[in-house]
Amino acid sequence: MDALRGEIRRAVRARESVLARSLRAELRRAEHSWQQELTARDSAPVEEHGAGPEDRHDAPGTGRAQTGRSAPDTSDEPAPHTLSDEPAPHALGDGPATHALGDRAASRALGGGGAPGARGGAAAGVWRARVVRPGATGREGASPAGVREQVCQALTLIGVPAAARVVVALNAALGAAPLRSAQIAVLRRDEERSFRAAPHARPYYMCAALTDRLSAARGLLALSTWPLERRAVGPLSPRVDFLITAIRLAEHLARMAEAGERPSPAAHRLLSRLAHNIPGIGERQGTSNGYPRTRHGPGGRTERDADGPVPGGRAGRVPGARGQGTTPGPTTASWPAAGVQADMSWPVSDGEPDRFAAGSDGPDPAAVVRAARAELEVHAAGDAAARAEIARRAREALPEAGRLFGVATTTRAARRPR
Amino acid sequence: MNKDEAKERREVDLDRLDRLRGAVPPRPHDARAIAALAANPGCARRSVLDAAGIDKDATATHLGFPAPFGRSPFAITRGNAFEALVKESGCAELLRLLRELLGLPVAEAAYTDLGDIGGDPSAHLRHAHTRTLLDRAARDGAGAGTLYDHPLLRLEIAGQSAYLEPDVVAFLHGGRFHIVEIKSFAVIDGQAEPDKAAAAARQAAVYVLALKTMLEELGHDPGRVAHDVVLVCPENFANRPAAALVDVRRQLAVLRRQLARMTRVGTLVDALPPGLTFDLAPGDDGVPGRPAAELREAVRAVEARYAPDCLSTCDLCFFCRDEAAGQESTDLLGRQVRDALGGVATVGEALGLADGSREPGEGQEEIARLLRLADRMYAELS
Ligand code: SF4
Repeated sequence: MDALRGEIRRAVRARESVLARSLRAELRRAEHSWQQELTARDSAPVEEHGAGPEDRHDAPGTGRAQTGRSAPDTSDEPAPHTLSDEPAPHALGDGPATHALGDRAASRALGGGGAPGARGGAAAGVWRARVVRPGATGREGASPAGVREQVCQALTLIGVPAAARVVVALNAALGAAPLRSAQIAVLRRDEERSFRAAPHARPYYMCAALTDRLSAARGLLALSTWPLERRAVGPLSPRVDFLITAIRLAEHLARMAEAGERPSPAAHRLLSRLAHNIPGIGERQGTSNGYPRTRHGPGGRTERDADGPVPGGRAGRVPGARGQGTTPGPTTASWPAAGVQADMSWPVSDGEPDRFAAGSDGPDPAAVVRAARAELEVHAAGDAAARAEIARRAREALPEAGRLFGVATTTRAARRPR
Repeated sequence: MNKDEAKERREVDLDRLDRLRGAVPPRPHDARAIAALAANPGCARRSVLDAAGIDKDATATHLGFPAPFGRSPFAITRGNAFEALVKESGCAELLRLLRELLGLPVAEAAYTDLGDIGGDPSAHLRHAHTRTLLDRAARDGAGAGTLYDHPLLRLEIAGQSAYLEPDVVAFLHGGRFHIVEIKSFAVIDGQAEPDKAAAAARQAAVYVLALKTMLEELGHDPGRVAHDVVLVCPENFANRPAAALVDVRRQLAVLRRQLARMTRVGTLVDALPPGLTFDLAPGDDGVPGRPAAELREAVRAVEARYAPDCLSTCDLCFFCRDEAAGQESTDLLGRQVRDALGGVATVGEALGLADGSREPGEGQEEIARLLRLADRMYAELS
């Protein structure tokens, strides 16, 4: 395919448009059959277990690059390939490349081998299925039951409510067959319908987390086997659950390492991303977190001035932004406007996260656990109290279905989280 | 003018504005539109059209000059994806940025989704909810939450209330509210595209104003809303969010002035011909029934003040540009040139003054001297 692509480029350069067109068609055919191949592999991961991990990893990895690069030829969206070459956030959802496609096979192929940023995720998934799967039942493949199983597995690992994006990422990190957020949304509605039709027909349900208004928290998934306190979401709960997610994932990776298994790049990448947002991990590894131009580092001001004038505002102001507001000129903004040059205020990262992302080892799981626990301690008591209060009210006010799925969930189900 | 008179006067205004708009409902203002008010405050045409709640986009389309806006679906996808990234897991990325940028203490990590109140509530309900919770936050002092996502704010614009649904987070720290605005244009080596950054600052100013207004209505000090907004953008193509503080005081002042001007739009309206209307009432086929030529005359009756940055802020820009070009107006050359050429209305006139083929009129002597000088210098150089 690379040879074909080279030909096309040459042809275009020489303005041989007819030749280029026919070459392109050929390339597309080649890619199409390649994708079909990929889809076939995807849906039958179990049969692939014979070969060594390296092979697996290579194949879909190449696929990513190719499907990614082919995008500009076949669609109007210029970016998928740009994004796919980054440590992209899209790893967490179906990236722009996937959900734009109506064609199931194509989106599966992209989602499997080529989702931007999922680099190696699916690949790793295929081989790691062997490593991780035995605990779960691998036989359903990507059937609705399989999706349900996978979602449950991801939730069980972290033990706290999570957004679909997070479930998708965890699932990839666990090395299971790729999931899409849309599948999860369907599943969620299905669970509620099933419970309301025949309560307790299943041993567990995927259900809602409850807000303090006792409605289903937007976008969060939980398991019915958890105590209500865990499914209640107070103001600090998103943070607490985020920290717990990081701890559980780190512990899981540590366990794998102990057992002599190599965690997947997707798992490392996810842990890196979580770790990046937990204070105390970057510094421990000897880097400031790349905001040298602010007057104080992170955590520099741990007490807030009770009612002093402009706490934070001034102190945190980045030099360079100051005074721009008074620059005369009718149309320029006070900031990043043309006049601001090299000493611009934008904090420049020193690349620490990239080191995480690119490095094969990622952050040290033990360090992540320590740092996350340290912050968790700060929030734990307040969060537990708020959750207990919500749970108490839910027990008093709601029938069982309401406790599981929240009040007014039917209208909510139709709404997409913004 | 006593109070009753003022009220009466206002009602007359509203009535007149309704007639200007014709038989279609007023178009609600969104933050982008409001922000754009601050972009070209001197334009009477836009003041009148906006005050009357006229759909400028539809007007421009009917005139045959559809607006160049509308983001590509890809840009929207990218914007949403970036926002989702920043807000994921209780705004984990945003918390990190705020801790780094403002020294937000670790303990302050509460996240409240003001938009998530169950069911499918109306804007009115959601606004009430936002008010209640932010009121509580403002009163609670130390026990208050920190991040408030999806606030639904309201701003009174020329007698109509516009609901603003910012994709921003209001963030409370040390007793002060900050507006966080998440934008998906990239900041590369510390530089953002100036017009995008400027637009973001203007838009953030709208939210700051709306939040200040809300606090004031609730009996709190509006000064508790910081005029430094936190702008979050992806950095260096990497989609990794970075944050900076942007001072929007100037944008805020312009916006205030412009909004006040819109409530006083009566004087502008009074000067217009009595029967004037920009009615866009659709005919049977759904498109405005009125002949475009008639609408064109109506729009032309209100004076415009075209400037090149209209191209990024006003739906009518192509129409006004065309008009300015037809008149050889110096407006086309941008504000600075226009101001420098004060008193010289057209390009032809300026050229005439420069090569001496045209005698300067009264008050034009100085600019004519400068133009001739420039012409000589230019001749020597070329
Ligand atoms: S485009 Fe026309 S109407 Fe809009 S602000 Fe500019 S001059 Fe005024």
